[in-house]
Amino acid sequence: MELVSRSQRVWGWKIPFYLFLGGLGGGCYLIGILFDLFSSANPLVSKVGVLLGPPIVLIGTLFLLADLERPGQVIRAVLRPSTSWISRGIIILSVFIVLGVLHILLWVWPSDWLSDWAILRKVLDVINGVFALMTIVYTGLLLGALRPIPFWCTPILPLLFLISAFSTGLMAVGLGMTIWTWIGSDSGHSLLRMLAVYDTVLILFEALIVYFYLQGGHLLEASRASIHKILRGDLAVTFWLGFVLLGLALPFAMGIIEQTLSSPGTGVSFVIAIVIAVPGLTGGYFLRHVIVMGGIRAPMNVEGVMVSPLPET
Amino acid sequence: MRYGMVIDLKRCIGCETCTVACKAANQVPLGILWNRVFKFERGTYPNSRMAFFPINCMHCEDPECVKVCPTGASYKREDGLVLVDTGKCMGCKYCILACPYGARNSFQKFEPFYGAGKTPLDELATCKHMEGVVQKCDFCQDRVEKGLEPACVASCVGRAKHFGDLDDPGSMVTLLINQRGGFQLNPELGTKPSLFYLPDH
Repeated sequence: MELVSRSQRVWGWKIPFYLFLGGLGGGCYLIGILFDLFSSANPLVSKVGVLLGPPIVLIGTLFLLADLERPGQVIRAVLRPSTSWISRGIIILSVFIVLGVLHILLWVWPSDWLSDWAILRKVLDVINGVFALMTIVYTGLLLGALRPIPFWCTPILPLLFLISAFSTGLMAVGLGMTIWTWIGSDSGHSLLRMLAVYDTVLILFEALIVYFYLQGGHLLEASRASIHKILRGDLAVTFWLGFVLLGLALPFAMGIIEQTLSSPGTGVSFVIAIVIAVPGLTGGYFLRHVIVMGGIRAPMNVEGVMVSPLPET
Repeated sequence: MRYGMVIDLKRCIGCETCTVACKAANQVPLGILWNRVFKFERGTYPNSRMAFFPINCMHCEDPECVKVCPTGASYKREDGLVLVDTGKCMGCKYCILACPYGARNSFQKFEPFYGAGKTPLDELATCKHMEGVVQKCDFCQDRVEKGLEPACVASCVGRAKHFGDLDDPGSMVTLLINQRGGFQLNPELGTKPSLFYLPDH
């Protein structure tokens, strides 16, 4: 009997959009705190990262709530952290958002109080940095816990989401710094160049990981069907144009071009930051879109005959 | 006390009476099936034959759906039934994806069977089933509480389905499993289904 290669229809676009915003917000915040802890560069990068992170994740959770059929019961959703990734995730997100908002209020706006309390600030950086990391990674573990969908059930997924979160985070922080500098008078365009270098390298790694992810999935029938759907089937346009072109190739090319320019002016750096960020962030969403929409159920083994479960309504 | 079911594949003729009886007895909404019968060819021509495989919720001993449920709406009862407390379900549908047997369903908006208006069955269905929450075969717990067998078991034309207490060494289900070599579906997943099949050869 032929394997029905119809993807899951249980989760729609709101779930990959939440995964994208969760990764992006966590990535921005992580970049912010890593610069604060390990770099003596202008604190602008850190402040932008910290400012962007928690609100983006908060907006993401709105989409998560919108996907629920009965959001009134979501209060109960923290009750099973011992077995359910959704419970764990809600707890992780809540801690991250609360500590993150506190961080913003006490360091970015309206107060600057933590600037004078370096040790306290760095402790907060580390603690909430861990929660930011967990926010990014748990999204991959949530999908990875589903054994019936072999395409998702791999340890590469949290790693891929982590790299993608860092890459999109760098792009968003670059964009944020561009906007901040237009509003204020801080000149951060040399920092933009540095961020673009990191991002260009990360994009290479991301491309490699995506390659290994898709390559490795060919061993199981259902994941092979998923990969075929993504590379050549009805998700192919979204994947090749939306993710590979917009999310990887274009930002990578712009990053290389920026490095070849000897001393770009502020205006050029800003334009490049925007031209990297807009397609790059779009690509970050499309990556998760094709992964979630491409999930296909493994068949059941009925006395040696592979039988596909009927697609759910 | 551990409720279980045995399906004798030698007797199953693929008539789908169980599917329809389940629909009728539980007023299962449009587009959803709690009991499904898979049909496929076994062997290769000219030595081939049709095989019929009814599948409903396995009421596993170690259910994936209960593990992944964040609110505790999915739970396993003492007597072995895996049920959904619809009052607690928030409709995240994670359990639908987690079930390896595809036993769970949900619907967003109730649709009448014939479009023009609601039939009496539709009316019953709207009372019994809530939009958005997850639902599945519950071994007809209303009927079982009254001492009856589940609708699919009672209606089976070929007497292929049996229901009983797997913990009782003298019950029909235990005897059949032991004597005829009952097997589970995908046992390597570790879910330990309470639904056993008797081979058809």
